[in-house]
Amino acid sequence: MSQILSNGLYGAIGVTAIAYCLAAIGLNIHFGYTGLLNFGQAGFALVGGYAVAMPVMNWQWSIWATIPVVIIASTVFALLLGIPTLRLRSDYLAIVTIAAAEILRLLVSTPKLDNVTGASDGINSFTNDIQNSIPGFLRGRSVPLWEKQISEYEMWVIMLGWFLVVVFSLAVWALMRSPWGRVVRSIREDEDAARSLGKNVFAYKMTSLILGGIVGGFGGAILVIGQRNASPGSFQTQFTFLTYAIVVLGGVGKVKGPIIGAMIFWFIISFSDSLLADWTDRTGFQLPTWVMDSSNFSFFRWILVGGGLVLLVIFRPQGIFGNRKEQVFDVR
Amino acid sequence: MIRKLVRALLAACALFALFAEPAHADDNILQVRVQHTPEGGGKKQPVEGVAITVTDAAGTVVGEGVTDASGVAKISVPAAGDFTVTIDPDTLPDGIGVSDGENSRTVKVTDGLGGNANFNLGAAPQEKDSKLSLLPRTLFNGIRFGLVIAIMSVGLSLIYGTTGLSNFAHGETVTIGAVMTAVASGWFTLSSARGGWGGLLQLSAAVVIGVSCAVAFSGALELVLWRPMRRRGIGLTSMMIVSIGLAMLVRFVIQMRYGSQPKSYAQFASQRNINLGPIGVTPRDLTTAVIALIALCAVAYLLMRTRTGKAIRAVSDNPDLASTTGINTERIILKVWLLGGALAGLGGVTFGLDEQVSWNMGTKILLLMFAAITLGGLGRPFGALVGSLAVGLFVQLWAWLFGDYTDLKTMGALMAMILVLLFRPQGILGKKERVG
Repeated sequence: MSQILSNGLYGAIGVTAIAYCLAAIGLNIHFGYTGLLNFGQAGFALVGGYAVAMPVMNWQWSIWATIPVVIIASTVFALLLGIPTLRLRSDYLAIVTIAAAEILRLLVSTPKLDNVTGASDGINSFTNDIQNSIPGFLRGRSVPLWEKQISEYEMWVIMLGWFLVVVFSLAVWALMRSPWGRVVRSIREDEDAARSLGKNVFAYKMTSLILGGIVGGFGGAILVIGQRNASPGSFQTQFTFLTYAIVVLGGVGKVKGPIIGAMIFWFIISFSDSLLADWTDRTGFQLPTWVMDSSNFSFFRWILVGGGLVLLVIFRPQGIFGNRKEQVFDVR
Repeated sequence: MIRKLVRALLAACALFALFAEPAHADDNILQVRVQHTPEGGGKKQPVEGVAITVTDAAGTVVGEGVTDASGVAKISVPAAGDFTVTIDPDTLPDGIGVSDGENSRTVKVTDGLGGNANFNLGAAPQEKDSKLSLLPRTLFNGIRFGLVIAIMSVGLSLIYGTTGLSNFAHGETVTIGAVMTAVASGWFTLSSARGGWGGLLQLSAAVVIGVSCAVAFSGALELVLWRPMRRRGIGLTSMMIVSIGLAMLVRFVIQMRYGSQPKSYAQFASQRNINLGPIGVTPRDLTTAVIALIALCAVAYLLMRTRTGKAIRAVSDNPDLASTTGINTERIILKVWLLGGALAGLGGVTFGLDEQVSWNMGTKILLLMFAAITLGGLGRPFGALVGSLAVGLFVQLWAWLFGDYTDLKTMGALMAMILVLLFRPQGILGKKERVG
């Protein structure tokens, strides 16, 4: 049992949780504060991830030099998405963003671009600089998390990742207290009112799309660095939907929402997964095989996520810790 | 009959050749035979006048020759051992090609027996006029694929029109229709023969079961989920996110129960490769196209000519105004969900005939459905039809034009959608109104 619990804890603070947390912080800027229905957060993460992996792989850049590339590439992607759609009704943005994310994923998976993107296998071995930058106090040992051992590389990425989460969360907190944040939230509440007060709604929405996209891009960057592999399989439409689940779980339009959401979400996923693995293997307590067996228990977590998302939105749209006063769910 | 005779004759000739061979193989003769299979199949034909080079293991040329009228060249080599036989692609006649790496092979020559090398060539890759001859078939496939998408997306569009909901779970309704049909067709095949009229009857019964399941799924969701949510005043964005969660829930339940392996309908498996007519239409293709056409005509009739259809259009235009004129909006919305479920289920069946039935087929096609209804104009049922045909044609034409980039054909359709939105945001058939 303690093994299962420590797997859950590892899920809650691990690289995947961090990556999704960053993507959720970005999505929170779009959806929670500005009311933009961005369904292409997977696309931003993909852009960020490949912006790190491709220059290192193809042109032997230092991985640290790719940080501005992540920012620039995410910005360009946001502009490409925003210019045709931000003037339209919000459901158009939803469909275009989901399509654009899928276009990017298909583009990097095509065998024709194998020598640039690595096609469906993706890009490996671009993380030497991260490996070499592991500080002395981590070197040569693995860090125990209860019963789980975390390798030095992973621990270093986790530290970098949570540092980014803190930085971006503070930035969002400061931004939303600024005049810019107030305008953006007024756009969410009533776009026409904001427009009638002379605000350039399009420009504010575009800025929001760019900022949230950059944070999402860093989420993708952390994900590929943590996995030591950038491949299209990590950035399917599912990525966006899980990010939505995290934002809703933690509380829409709250600074701490994505952090709480990502930790709880990945705790539940990892915990239930290893619990069911334990219940379907040959030893100890066993579930009847017609319920599930060792070949199909791993799908159950997604059933859990889907059902959980439905129940949350219907019964607790403010998230688990939110209060109902600031109900910020419905845009358009 | 004649074909059989010819075949027998040729077989006899080959037998003779086999017996005649050892007589020539007095010293180390390497016999090279070059043949090609004509386009569209048929007997192998000899290829004359092909230059052949034989090199030994060290790479020095030990013999050269040219094939005669029977496609054979005999080249004597100095000793036994391994030799590399290479044919010169430039000497091949027009229309016959050899792919890279296929134009040479290593042959073992033994004392007294000699050695053999056979080259069986295909048609030259990528020929201009053969590509043009594929165009009618491509267009037909595009229209057919468009019709299949249309059946599904008309339902999606009707639901969007009457309730305002972008239903992400529509793909799962499609999957349920296809999967339940496949499951039901599996029950029947246990007992009786495959193919023929019996098979068709079995498949029809299975389709009825599958489509009923899709209808039940869609209607039940309206009753237990969407209607109560509307009553509670939960907004459209929330409902859209609920539909995403629901889609995930249902999708993975299907994967758990049905399995990850794609399957095809047992009764139709035997009909795969029969070709009819100049554009090479299989009965399967024709069936899906006809089913889709009939379904769409029925929907068009329902919408334009019946009272229910009129009421549906009224609710689409303005729900409040519709209910003040005495239309029971809730009943109409339920009917739309049932109709949408039936169309999605039927679409799933035809899509399953086209490809294979898998747990995530609905999710895979959902984006194309959204592209279709956006292209045609959100919420307009006939827009969905036009948009679907455009998407279907676009996907197939993309595959035809950029044969090397077939895996990107979906991408082409999605890009077309974004481009159309840039210049005509209301879609092809949409009303010119302010949508911003």
